[in-house]
Amino acid sequence: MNPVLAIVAPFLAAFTIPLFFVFRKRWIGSSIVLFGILSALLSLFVAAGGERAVVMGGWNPEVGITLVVDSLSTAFLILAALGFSASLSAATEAFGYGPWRFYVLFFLSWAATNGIILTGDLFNLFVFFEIFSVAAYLVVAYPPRSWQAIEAGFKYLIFGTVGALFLLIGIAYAFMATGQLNMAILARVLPRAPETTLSVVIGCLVVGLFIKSGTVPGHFWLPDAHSSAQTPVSALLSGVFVKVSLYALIRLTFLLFGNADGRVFFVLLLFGTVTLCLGHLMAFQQEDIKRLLAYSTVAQVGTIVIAIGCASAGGIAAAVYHAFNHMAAKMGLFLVAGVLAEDRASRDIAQMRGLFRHRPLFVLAFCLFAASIAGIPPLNGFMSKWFLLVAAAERGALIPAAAVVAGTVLSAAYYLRAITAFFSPAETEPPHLRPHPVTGAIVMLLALLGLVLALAPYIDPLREGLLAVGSDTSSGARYIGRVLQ
Amino acid sequence: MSITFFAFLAAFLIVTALTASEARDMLSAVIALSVFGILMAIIFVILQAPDVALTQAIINSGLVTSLFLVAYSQTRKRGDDPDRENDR
Amino acid sequence: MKSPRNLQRLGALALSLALGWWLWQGVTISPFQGITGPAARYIHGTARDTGAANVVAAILFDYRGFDTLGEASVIYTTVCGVALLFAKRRYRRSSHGLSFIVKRSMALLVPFILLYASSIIVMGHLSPGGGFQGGSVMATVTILFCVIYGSSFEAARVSPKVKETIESSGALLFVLIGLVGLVTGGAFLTNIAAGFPRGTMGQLFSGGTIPLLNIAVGMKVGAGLSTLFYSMVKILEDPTESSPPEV
Repeated sequence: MNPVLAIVAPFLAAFTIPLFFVFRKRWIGSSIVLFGILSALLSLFVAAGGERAVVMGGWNPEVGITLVVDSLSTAFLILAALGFSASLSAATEAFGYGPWRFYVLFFLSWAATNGIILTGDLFNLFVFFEIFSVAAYLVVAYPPRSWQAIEAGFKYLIFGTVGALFLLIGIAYAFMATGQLNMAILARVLPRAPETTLSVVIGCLVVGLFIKSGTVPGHFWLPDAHSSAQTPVSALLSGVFVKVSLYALIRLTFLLFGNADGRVFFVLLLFGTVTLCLGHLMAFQQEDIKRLLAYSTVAQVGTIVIAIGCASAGGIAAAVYHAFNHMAAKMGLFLVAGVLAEDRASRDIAQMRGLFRHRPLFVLAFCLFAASIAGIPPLNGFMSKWFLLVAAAERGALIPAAAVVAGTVLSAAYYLRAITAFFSPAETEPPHLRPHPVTGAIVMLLALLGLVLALAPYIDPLREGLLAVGSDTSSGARYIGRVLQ
Repeated sequence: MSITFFAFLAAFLIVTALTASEARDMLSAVIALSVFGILMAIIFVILQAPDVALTQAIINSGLVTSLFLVAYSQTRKRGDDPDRENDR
Repeated sequence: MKSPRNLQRLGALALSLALGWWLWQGVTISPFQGITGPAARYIHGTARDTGAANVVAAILFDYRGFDTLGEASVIYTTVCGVALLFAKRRYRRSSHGLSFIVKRSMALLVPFILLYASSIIVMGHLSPGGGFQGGSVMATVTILFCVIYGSSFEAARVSPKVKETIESSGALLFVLIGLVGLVTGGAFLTNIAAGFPRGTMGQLFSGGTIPLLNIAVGMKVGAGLSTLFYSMVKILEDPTESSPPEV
């Protein structure tokens, strides 16, 4: 199956839905569901098709744009398909089928995510990053009823544009130094560039991706954007969107800079640790549940950056495993938090007391997800953190490892604060309890995914797959060979 | 094109950019942005890139300026006294 | 009160200068005197590979056509988002436009501007221009309608639903041409290798898919930018309690 279909299917969805709005309004709802299923299935088929590289337009890789499916792309393609499907289901329940433009933006961001994951060309990466970012800014600010949503979207816009600018400068300098844009060819040719140009390229790309992923010091937009957005959008942002920028970071660091400069990994370890500490400390002080979850996302982004900074196959395997675990847990956390906040008509933790009696399954799921993301054994969060600690110890990065352990304790503390609020007796009944069947089903499925992921180190195909991701990506030779055969 | 002419254009570009970001009156800033775009189009022509110059001239002077003016005229609709200096 | 702000501006200036110096240090001019790599292939191979006379159009729509799909989608996303966020429950009354002389002069000019825009789009593979440029000129015409005649006139001439249809049709056309290439030629967005006629270089009907893609992008960009401006202009007008339009 040609990899381009994973990108074309959401594009077709986004371009056809407006035509349905103009000509056949009744078909909008079913078309959204069908396009969602189609995009998810095509992404999974492309991921299952094995490692290959195709060039758009039939040209050779130097001249045309290459799409590459390798083990890292496969992993993130599956992650994106699962995340987007879950968010789409929750969104159809929360918004209905009325705001069709929202779904157009949703599918455009899906197409862009698949594009970023599959592309093998540096400028094409930037183009898809632009589609992805613009769709993200707009979807955060929807609907513009409160000033918080508008301010969050605006802040995300400013920060994201600065990040995209740095990304573009880095790409332009790489092109200026070598004349090539294909990532596999650049992996061979870029290390021969002069030292100052190489430092500009690395610096600008890393700074750009830090801002896009929410690593300190580019994290200021993340708490506002993830907390002020609507619940399905927050789940999507924390679950999938931050992973996309981290995927780009893994790909570019190991392909382009892995051999050239070992200092990049030290920078990643440093800023990852700072992000982790800052995220956990800020989350500890939050009273607003969605802001708490958003700062927890910042901390987990720091964890994944530390895993990337370990510069080894084990580190990458830990990073990918943690990305999956975080997606499953954080999406579940946001969906449950949204339901509970809607019941109490407030996002303040102190006001969310006594919800266990009215929504027992949701609260239990919240406990499960919180334990998982905090890193309580034997759940999936603990497994991925264990992988990470092993990789960090191998590298000798003891301070980040200690920070990860301290972060585990701290996150358990602040999640426990929220959970005790849910279980403590309430003074008043929640005013109305709207049934959320679809969201409930999605939450259960995400919990199931978390349990499967927790068993992954014991299920041979999954473990082999993760380790293969690590070893394939850390060397880069396999990727280059696949593209330039 | 001689180097002096190019240097003059570059200096003018920097001056316009500084005006666009530092001007107190927002209308002056918008107009400076429009001039910036036209200068970029001229520089693209000098660098022998006619497609880019055409795109820059049309989109910047036609579209971006009108969008900025639309946004600018909205900022005056809130009942501000136009003579009072806006706080940045 | 001035001091902290001046300090801030001084800090910003210092940061910009430091960044500029760092970027300047990184600039390299390639040691080879000629052009190597993909650029050489584009320049030498355009006439033979694509049949188009304009190298930039060949790069945009043939060699790296996938990027152009992405770029046009960025505009599509922006337009969709602006129309989503600037929700229309609030405005109805349109302005009366400018004076009579301006209106009549405009009426004389509009056909020529549209002809010029069409020629830019259609001859994109022969001379500088193409879908983006021509589409923007078409959008400029609708902007002129809004300014000179008032937005209600403009909405009556080209209703928002027609613009939406044109924009989506242009986008779909681009993807469908790419899929045709996938089915017949083996790769998405294949041009000559998929059987599209190459023609003689320099003729109007040459270049395979490039004129078609130009038209598709022209539709997408023109209708999109026009919708963008219309969505923004409607904010200027005073709110009344009429029923909201359904864009």
